[in-house]
Amino acid sequence: MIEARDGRRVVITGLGVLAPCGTGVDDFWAGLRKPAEPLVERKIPDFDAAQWGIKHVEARRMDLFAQFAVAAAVQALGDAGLDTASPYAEERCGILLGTGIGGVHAWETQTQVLLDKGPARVSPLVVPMVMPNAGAAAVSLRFGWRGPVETVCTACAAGTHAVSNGAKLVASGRCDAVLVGGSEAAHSGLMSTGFGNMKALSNSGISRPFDIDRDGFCSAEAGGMLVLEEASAAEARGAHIYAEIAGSGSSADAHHLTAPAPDGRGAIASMRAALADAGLEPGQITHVNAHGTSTQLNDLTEAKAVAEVFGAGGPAITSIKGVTGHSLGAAGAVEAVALALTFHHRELPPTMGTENVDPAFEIDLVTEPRSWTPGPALSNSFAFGGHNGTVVFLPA
Amino acid sequence: MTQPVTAETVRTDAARHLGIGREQLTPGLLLGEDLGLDSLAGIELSMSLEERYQITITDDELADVSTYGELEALVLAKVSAR
Repeated sequence: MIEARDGRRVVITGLGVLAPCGTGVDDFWAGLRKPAEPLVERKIPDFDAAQWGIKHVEARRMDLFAQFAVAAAVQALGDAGLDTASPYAEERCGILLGTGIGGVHAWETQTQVLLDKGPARVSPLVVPMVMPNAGAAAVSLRFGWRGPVETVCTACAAGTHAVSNGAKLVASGRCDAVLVGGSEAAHSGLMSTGFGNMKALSNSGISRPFDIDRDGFCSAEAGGMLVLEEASAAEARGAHIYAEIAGSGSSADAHHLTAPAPDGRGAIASMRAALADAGLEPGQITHVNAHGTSTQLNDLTEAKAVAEVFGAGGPAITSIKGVTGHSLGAAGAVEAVALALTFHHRELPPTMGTENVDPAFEIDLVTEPRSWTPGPALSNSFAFGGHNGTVVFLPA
Repeated sequence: MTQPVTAETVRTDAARHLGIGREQLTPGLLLGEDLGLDSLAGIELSMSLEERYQITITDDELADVSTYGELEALVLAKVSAR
């Protein structure tokens, strides 16, 4: 990693996740192999803020997306064993979170209050509930972490960019530990209508990445969180290490507000930048956790870009969005969690929902669980706005 | 509103808003130090009671309130003046 100083390496030591297919890493991982019911809006079932130590009064001043961030962070810190005893000073602990849109529920409900009841009834907390950085702020307040606490807003690439930017804080020596991830709770009348009217959502409610019959994405709620630490310090305290983050790439298409560049140039540039950052050749990559949204354009462009970067006989490719749906700014974080678990379980999760891989795609799509010897792997995210992000994981 | 508004009904509604038991809400409690309400949370509580009882509490009136009992008395006075 170009930012790495004094030989510092960045490792993943804790995971937390909330997704429609399961909350907590065990249920989530099991859920990735179960067929999802056709549903165009996939919610986190039975979310209970109190379960994650969010008090009644706190919950009322936190939009759902911020509550998801706290819940995922509670899990990840617990998994890392940093919740009860941490060797790190709070000012050397950072938080880098992504969200696509932010406090959608607060925005929409308070707009309705303004229209129905007038300005005197609008919550004085509407601004700090709506702001996209509210998730990172809530996590900082909860754990007292006082290092860099920032939010990336690059739509559907935000989660991956947050993982990448947080890893750089550890690599450079600015932080000893970081929480990185993302959360999204964007099911509202306005957002859902907008996605529907732009014809991005699936009519069938079936998410089937890279399938010939793919007809759009299924939008999802989610939260994903990872604890990153410097490798030697993590080893010294006996932490369980899932994988190393060896590099990342970021690029923009500069082509169109929502459509990917048809030649895949942005996606290709992002993957090549990530490989260069990690010091790897394309032939060394054994697995790609794809963005794979199940839209016509994303899957076409991503398949072409992967084929261009890796050539024939390239890496095994999976999209978990057949189960999870697309959680926008949380997606890259949830997929980073999935990739870390892929290293842990030594098994590639299948691309559920996909029955007939588009014959135009020259890719090795994983459609059944496949045993895997951990090797260099990468995860992609591509976004409205033309933002692209890639992270590279190595076996620890 | 057909039911009479009493100290008990105000206490019930305020406790529900705060997510605490009604018996925990005693008149001498300081909104800030004892109940942990910052200024925005105080405004939220006041707005909740304003809406519940269709009254208006001004910023100046709220600024003079430091205990739960004072807030309860202010709400009851506003209700009786409706």
